[in-house]
Amino acid sequence: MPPRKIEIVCAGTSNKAIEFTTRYADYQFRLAFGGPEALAETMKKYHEQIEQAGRSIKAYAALGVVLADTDEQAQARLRDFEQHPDMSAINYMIAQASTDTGDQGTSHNIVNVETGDMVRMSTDFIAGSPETVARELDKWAEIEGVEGYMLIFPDYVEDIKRMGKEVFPRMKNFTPPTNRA
Amino acid sequence: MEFGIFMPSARNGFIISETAPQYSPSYPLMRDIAQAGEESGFSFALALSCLRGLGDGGPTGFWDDALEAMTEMAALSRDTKFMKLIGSVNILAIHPAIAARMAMTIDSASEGRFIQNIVPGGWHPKELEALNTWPGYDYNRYRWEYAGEYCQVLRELWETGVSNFKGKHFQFDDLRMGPVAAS
Repeated sequence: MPPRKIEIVCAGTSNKAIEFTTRYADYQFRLAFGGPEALAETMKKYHEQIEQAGRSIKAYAALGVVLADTDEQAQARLRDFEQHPDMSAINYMIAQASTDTGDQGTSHNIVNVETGDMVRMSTDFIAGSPETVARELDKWAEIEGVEGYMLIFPDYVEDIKRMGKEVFPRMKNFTPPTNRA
Repeated sequence: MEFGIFMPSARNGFIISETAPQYSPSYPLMRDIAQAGEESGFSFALALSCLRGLGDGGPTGFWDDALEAMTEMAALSRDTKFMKLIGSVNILAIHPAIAARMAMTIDSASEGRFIQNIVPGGWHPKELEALNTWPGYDYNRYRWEYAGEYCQVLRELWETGVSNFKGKHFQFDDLRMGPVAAS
């Protein structure tokens, strides 16, 4: 089979990054942070820029999930992670990111970020039972312009299997893979 | 809405905590994760570029162990059937001609499932300083311009097989790559 067009994705949220994405990339990748409302706002602003560029660009967003039998257990687990940060790693990361003083660069984004946020690498997490996670993901899935959510888990193999068995079947807005052979 | 997996190709994934699972990446683990993903309804997976840890001698060694993204996706090309595979290159560490050829090869190995992630770098300068490829902190002002030129070279090689690109940051004469991608 002949080679086919290879698409480009990049991460970056500054105006220059978005300008780059609209000219050269096919997908944008970002961390979801600040709740679905914040992401919806960003996607709206982003959509205006894409319209001006006359192109079609989709976004992937990263989101964390902590699954447990009950909401209380999941939230307690996430809180436990947040209350036991590896401060050496976090302080190192902050010091490195502070050097990025480009316009709207990383140093701009880490001001006022709390330790819990740093544990989660400035990424929103959903913590709950399968029913709760399904309901929350359905909300995130309603945001226009997002092509897909890239999920982060504490226990990848176990959590991914649980997503397949107990979360995706409960969702209204789940789309199975469209590129199955 | 499609769902994908942010692969934990670097130690401890994306949770910087002493009480989160502590584990270093290995290809067998990545394979198990991706295959569980295909069985469970996930549509895509992304492997990040991490060329240096953030552990800094701390208790979790966060990201001190990390697989390389493109070779990881090349292997996953043969251990997955239909997921889209997104591999990353740090544009200060990998020459665009090499990135272009690696991407083309993974695209061939995966029968058309590969997507290229472009990482300009900048929030972790030491990653590139240690490689002696960091151009200086001024890079943060022009990194998207640099990335733009890098991408133009990639596209020229993928789509036409030749680049004579002359830009501010990249200049090539008769740089070639085959085979050419179908449009």
